[in-house]
Amino acid sequence: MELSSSTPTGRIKRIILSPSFWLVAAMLVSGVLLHYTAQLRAIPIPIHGEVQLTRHSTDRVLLILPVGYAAFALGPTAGLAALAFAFLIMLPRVFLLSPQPADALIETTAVTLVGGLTIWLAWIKQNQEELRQKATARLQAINAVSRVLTGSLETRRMLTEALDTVLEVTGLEAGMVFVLDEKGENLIVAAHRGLPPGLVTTDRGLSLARMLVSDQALSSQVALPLKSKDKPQGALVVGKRGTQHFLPEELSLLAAIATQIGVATENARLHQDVARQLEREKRLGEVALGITSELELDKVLSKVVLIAEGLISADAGLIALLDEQRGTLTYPYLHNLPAELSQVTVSTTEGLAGRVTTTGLPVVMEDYQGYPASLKPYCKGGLKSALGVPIISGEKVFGALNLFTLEEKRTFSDRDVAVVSSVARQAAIAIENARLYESMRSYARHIITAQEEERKRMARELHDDTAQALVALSRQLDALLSSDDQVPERARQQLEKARQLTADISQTARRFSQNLRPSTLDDLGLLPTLEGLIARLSEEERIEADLEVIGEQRRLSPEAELVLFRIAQEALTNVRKHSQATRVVTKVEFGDGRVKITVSDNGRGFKVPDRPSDLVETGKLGLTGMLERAHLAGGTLTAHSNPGEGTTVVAEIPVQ
Amino acid sequence: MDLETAIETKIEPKLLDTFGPSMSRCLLTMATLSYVTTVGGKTQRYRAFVDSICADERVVDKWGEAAVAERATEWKDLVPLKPQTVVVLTPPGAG
Repeated sequence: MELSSSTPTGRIKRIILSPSFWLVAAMLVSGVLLHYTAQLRAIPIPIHGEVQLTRHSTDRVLLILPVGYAAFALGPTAGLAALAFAFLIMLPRVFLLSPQPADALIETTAVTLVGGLTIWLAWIKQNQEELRQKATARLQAINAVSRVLTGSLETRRMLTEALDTVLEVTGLEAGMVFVLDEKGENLIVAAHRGLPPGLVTTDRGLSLARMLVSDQALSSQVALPLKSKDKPQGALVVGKRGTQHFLPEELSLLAAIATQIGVATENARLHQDVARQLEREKRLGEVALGITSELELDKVLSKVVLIAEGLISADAGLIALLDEQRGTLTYPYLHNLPAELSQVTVSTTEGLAGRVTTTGLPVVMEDYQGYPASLKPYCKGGLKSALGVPIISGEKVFGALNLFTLEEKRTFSDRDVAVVSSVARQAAIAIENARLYESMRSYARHIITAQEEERKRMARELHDDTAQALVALSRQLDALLSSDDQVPERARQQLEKARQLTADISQTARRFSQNLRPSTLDDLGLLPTLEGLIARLSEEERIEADLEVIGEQRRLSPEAELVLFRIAQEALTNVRKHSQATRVVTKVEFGDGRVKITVSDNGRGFKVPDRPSDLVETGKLGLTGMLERAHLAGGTLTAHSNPGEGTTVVAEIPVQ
Repeated sequence: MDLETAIETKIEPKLLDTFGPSMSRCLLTMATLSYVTTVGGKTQRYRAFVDSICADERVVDKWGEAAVAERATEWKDLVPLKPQTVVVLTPPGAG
């Protein structure tokens, strides 16, 4: 719509078309008539054979002024009223008073015609003004809606505010905005205003949309599709409870607004898609970190189910593990499903997981209950829709990751499948890692067990054979030295040295045997063995060494006692060899299901590496061994130390 | 027959049988969008609903033009036009 013209021709045209111009012209003509009355009398205009304008002629001409003023200032209707009034004023003189009634009639008619022309011009001006105002109002309406649409990218909020604005600028009472859901499988009432309370519910989907527009909630309504690039996005329905005839301009305005809303809806959707994609990528990064930071299978797989559920907003989930040899599936990891389902074992020919592991492909089931091979216990668990993806690495299938809805049916999207598949791939890697780790731990456990057995055997041999033989040798030397037979003095001295040496070797052998595997550990338990170890340290190294026991003392399993003893033994060996400590305290705390042993010294301390893997590189093999033993026993080991501040080693393991 | 009954008992089951749940929902949603944006009485809206389904390329490809036309007539006859019904066309420029 052309609102202004800047060319000279256009300006002149506009001025000429302006009613004010003609009003001014009329007034000027009146002025001329008044000003040149005498001269005009001389003009030979034949009016019944005479040429004259009387004083009354001037009056009549002047009557145009109020008519014109009324028409422009008060509107054409007022102008018409003024003209009628002026006509009534002039009429009596024409028929009753004027000495020249014919002339008076002609003048009156002329004045009436000029007045009518003025009113017509006023009417044209008013129409132009109305059109301009309507155009401005339309632009303002579109601008207002644009402002609202660009103010937010949150679809519901944006559409509610847009609907409010549409109703405000159009003066309509009620309306609703439907939008297609992400998959184009439903129409959702995204915003509504002025509808009867309780009419809009959220659980009736498409039939609700049909009902809302056809149940005459609004007597007069306009429904417009929301489109963007010819792709439907939804619909805008606005109207009134009373009767209203919509003008073409109103429909055109609403169509323009609907197009704006359609484009804005798609923009908001695209923005949300991007935001969701970024969020998912971030979450997947966290998944990778979360999953790969765990090496224990139970923790890994429990975490996988929770993460996958969260990523696609599922209600429940499980991991089925495949036993290839038996061709069966078990469900050890469940979330939001009855615990007894974890006891179910089925053939790979059954259930969703069976299909997924057999085909190696994702499966989406909108209606799990309707699946012929669905598992009865799971149907009873109230599962509605399901998504299953294989947990697969290379060609190795470990099982399936299945996710479910419990409240209502849902069609999982391709994006959902892609996201869960990604998690499942991470899970497969984590399972492989965890199994390798478990295999390594098993291997380490076997090595340590074999090492302990060998130590035990060597300790027994040292104690039973070597030490006994040395005792026998020592006794024979004693017998020789104390015999009555004359032994030369030189030989006696040699024998005495041999006896002393034999005693030293015997003591070393016994100590070595004790260090290898103290027999008291098996016979008397952890605490007496530690007492012996600490007493020897105190006696041999002149270090003030104490043992503190907290909690109810009791015998532990041989494995637990051995682990705790070896850790304490290694810690005390470090104290003896490296700490330069003058005091060491060993504390054993018996708790419920756990035993903690703490070895603290006041020695020179050292800088503890930041990561356990750095222990080997920095030559802290003793700490590495302690850490490994604690982990193999399912426990923890921490070392606290700083140069000049002593060292504290704390080991805690679970016990029965 | 009431149009909701016609949709639920005749149209939706037929679509489900042929196209499965996901595509059926898409077709019904687009048809409902036509229903919503058609100005007129329930019957006119219902006709727009049926036309939307029967004009979909996937439906025509699957059933063939003749069968689609036949099915459209069959479905439209389920909810016949009432004599006093006034048809109001969607105004030009309304999309």
